[in-house]
Amino acid sequence: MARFIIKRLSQFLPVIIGITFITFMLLYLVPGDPARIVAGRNATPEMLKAIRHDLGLDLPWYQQYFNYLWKLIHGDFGNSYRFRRPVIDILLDDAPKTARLAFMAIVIETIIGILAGVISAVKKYSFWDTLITLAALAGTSIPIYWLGIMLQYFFGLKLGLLPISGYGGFSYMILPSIALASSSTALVALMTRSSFLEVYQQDFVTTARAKGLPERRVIFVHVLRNAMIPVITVIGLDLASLMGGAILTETVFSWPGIGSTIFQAILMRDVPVVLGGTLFLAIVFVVINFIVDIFYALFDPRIRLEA
Amino acid sequence: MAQQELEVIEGMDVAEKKVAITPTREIWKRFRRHRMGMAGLIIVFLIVVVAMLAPFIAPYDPLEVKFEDSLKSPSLKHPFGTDLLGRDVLSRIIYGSRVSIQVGVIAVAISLIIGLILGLVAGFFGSWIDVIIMRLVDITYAFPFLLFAIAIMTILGPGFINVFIAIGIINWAWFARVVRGSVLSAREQEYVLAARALGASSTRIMFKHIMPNIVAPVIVGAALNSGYAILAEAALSFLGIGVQPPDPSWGLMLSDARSYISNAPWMTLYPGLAISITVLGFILLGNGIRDAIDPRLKI
Amino acid sequence: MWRKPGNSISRIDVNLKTRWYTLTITLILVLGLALLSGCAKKEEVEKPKKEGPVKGGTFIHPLYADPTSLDPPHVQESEGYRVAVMIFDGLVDYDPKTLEVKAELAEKWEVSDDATVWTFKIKKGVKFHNGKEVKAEDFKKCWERACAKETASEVAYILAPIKGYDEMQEGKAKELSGVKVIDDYTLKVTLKYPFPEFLKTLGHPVASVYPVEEAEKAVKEKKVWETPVGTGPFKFVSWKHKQEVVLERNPDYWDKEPYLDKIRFRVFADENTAFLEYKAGKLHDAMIPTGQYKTTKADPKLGPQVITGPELALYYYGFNMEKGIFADDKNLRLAIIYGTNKRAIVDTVMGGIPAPATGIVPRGVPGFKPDQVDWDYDIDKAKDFYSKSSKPSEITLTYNTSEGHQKIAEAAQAGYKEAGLNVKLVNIEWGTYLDRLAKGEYPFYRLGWIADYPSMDNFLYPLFHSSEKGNNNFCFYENKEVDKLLEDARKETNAGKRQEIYAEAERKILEDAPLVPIYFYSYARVVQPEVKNYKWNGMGLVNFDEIWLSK
Repeated sequence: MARFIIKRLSQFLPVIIGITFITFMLLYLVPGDPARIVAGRNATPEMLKAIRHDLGLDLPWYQQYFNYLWKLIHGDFGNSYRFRRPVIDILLDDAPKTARLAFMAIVIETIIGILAGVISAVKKYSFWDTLITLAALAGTSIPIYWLGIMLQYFFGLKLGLLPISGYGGFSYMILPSIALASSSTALVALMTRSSFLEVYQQDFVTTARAKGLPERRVIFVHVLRNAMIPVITVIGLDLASLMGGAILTETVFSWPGIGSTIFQAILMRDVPVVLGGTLFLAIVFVVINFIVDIFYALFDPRIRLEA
Repeated sequence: MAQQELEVIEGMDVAEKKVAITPTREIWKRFRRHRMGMAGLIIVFLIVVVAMLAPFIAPYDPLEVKFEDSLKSPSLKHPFGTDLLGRDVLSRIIYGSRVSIQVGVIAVAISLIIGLILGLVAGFFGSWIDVIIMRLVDITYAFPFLLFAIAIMTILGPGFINVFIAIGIINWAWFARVVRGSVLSAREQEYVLAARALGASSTRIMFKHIMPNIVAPVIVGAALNSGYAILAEAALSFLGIGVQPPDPSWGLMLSDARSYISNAPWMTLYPGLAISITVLGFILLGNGIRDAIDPRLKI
Repeated sequence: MWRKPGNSISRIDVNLKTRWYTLTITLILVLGLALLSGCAKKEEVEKPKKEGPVKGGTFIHPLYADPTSLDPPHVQESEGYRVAVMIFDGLVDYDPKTLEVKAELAEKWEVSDDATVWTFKIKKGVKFHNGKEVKAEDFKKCWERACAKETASEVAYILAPIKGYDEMQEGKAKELSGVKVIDDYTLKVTLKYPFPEFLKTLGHPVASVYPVEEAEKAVKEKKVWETPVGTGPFKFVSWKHKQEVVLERNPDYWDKEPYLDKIRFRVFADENTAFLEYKAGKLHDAMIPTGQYKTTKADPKLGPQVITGPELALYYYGFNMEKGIFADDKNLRLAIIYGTNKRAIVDTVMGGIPAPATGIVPRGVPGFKPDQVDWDYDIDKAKDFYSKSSKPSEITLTYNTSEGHQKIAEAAQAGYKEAGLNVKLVNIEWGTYLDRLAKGEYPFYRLGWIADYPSMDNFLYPLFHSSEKGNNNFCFYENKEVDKLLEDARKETNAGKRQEIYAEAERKILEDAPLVPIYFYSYARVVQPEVKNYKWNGMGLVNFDEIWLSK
């Protein structure tokens, strides 16, 4: 286990450096002058020159990149070109908001997804199974933002049950998190179903049943517990992808999260915000991956069954 | 990194399970019995037909602006209503299928080609080449997909071809990983080892013995990925950085429709349905092919 | 978003008995969720219950973007502007109706005959929100901070007429040589050149007053000043980025105390969502999304809540007069001008809200001249001019990415097509667009111009004076006669005569056809019935300090 962890940690660094480098190069290649966006329409050539110098944009690209890395090593993410605020402040403002949404989406996909998957598997080929499977397939096919707009229209406007948009307490989170969770829930349901069915035909289940355990116990204790491992892994990884994938949901629901911040920053050539934001999301992704792997290594059913 | 280990979980180490390629007829027989797969095939087929015959079946020119017909609700004349500029929504959806089908095919072909080459190289040559390619895969995976696509689109500028490229570029890693996995396990198969011992060249081994093992997962992956590529195009166009207007793209139509959700809901409803049904078609088709080729193949 | 293909249907057949409770649990959960959503706390706007002007209540107003900054030298867009003018005061302000200049913190002022030396008497006893009294010195320091090179203000150019501005911008001076403090309540300002409209520029937030030491301290410690302190009718309470800015009544306001207890500026990512929120009763006012103007107007409930009026802004398609296919081809420019279906754009795409442009300076600007040009859609004239032009087979119209610009471009394209002009559309997102525009890379492009202050000068000088080429003059327009007129106008102290000169310059510019003026902006908003005395002016500002809420 220790060797595994060390090996994995040693792979972090190249990924982190790769991410910053690729993001940096992408932004460097994007046409448009950040200085002009900072300065606005009324900027004089002298002003642009001064701003470029101020932001270090007049240096060759490798120097700009190494300056960025050097600052990063010292924990400095730089300042936003546009808002002048430190990037770290912006990230600390936004990331928890997206995390709230992602977490809520995870809760929905876990509860609804697993339940639907179990029902589907237990009642295989029944009406419910077909319904759930079809709903799940539809769930993976529907564009998130379209679902979001529809939810806003029906629950927010027509029925007036929920806030249409904006950042706020629990009630504000319901619609965006449903939209965000839609396709993940569908995937979890489908995955639970197949994983459940696979475990179900394994020997230990037959043994458990042969021992005269009640069917309910067999399902919930023996089958579900083992079938859940791949499902939980996927849910864990989903948390990472939801963090970065929330741009559309955030845009539709005016949710002030990290996705929409990075999106706007790309359009506005706010290089430090894009770099910091992407790096942040990548770190989240890598760390969650790592945790999931450890979890998997610890709880592999084969290991347990052998013991 | 994470993904390698995860292959076990997601069952991507396909060839390990000794995929036996059944004759095409056998596969087709199995596929025909797969109801959802058939449904997917029919949907995809119909959409391809619609896309190809668009000029013949569309009742109107999708670009023809008629100010006097602005925002007309669905009627016999315009079954899906008209948009702000009086253009027929049905005709625009019919033409929009061309964008989606092309994205589904071309963007996926781009990622498939990149992924196939890099996956083969990584799997076949191993050592440091493999390490570099796999790190690249890791990095690509660690990028939030949509943000990556947005960044590429801002470099290339909006446009039809650029959307293919952007989506193609972000999706290659998946193919690379699957192909590499297949190559790695195929490499250890007895017949490959035998061929090597007989002095067959690397290229020959690759094409004669390893390629067939890769076909199954790649076909299935291509079908499924097409669905996601279509969603991606719609999302980029929705954000205004995808296909250039006035080319009718479903995502673009949705973004146009947002301001009219309360007075012209048909503008939102139909393009959204078109996207969902098309994507669903590709996913069903992918699942069906997979089940037909090898029920144990898990992608 | 889209994701990688996941595991889906499995095929292992297992026979199992029915367990209804699994279904029941699902149902309970689904119902529970639905119930929770039903119990969601409803946040309705507060409605005080008295007649006539009444104190109290919180006004909830939508902003369509997080303000870039509330620090006066960095207030650059209308959202921040609208908030900032409630926190800060300047020497002068604009009348909410006529947009003429009126005194604010200035008691009175005198101007030399040549309009270069301005002496302001400042009101005594005005206090900042932190309790400190406002002195002439404060104005000097604030303006110097705005003009200093280190501040890199985006809007300092508004103070450019002041003597010493250039030295400050270049970092060669620490003080504005043109600003002298005579005593605690007297400020003498000397300009580089005669500029009778100087007073108008002083209504901009960049010229307002605040305790400079607070701003400097904050910038030193946190890079930005996000807890603004001014002398305005409202005090800053909080700013949650991308969520809301909250202001509260300033009980010690030097002028008439406002009625509202608080203003909540809620930030929205898009206007459609904000409009839905308004309809759900959660905002006191909102902009009507263009597509919904007609239906809103016709709606029995919402119709009476609609208010409209002119806004000081011009939407136009410009030509590059220096390079590209339009540069030396006036016939081609005129073909496009007559081929632009302004009426259809205004009526269909813009929902009838704005007015087709009749010149460059929009109505509402003091001195506005109606019917400067008569460029209505005329297919025959367009065809005629095209036949006399170089007849390019394809013309490209470039615009920056936005749903609205796109629809206008599509409508325009349809009009051009009818007139036999083959116009191709290309959209470029703003970051790239601005840069290439400044380099003169687009022969035919979209732009808009919104007044910094209500003056004809602000529409003509920056857009068409040759010194502004590639800066604001993206037409790269150069006409010695026009330059002369614009310079003369700036020196003319008689307002009536000045406006005549500007009108003359405007006519001259239009004769050269460097642009297609498309429409003059209008606002179209809805305001809840309980909101009284609400005024939205042509500068995009609201008189929050005069509004009250009744039942």
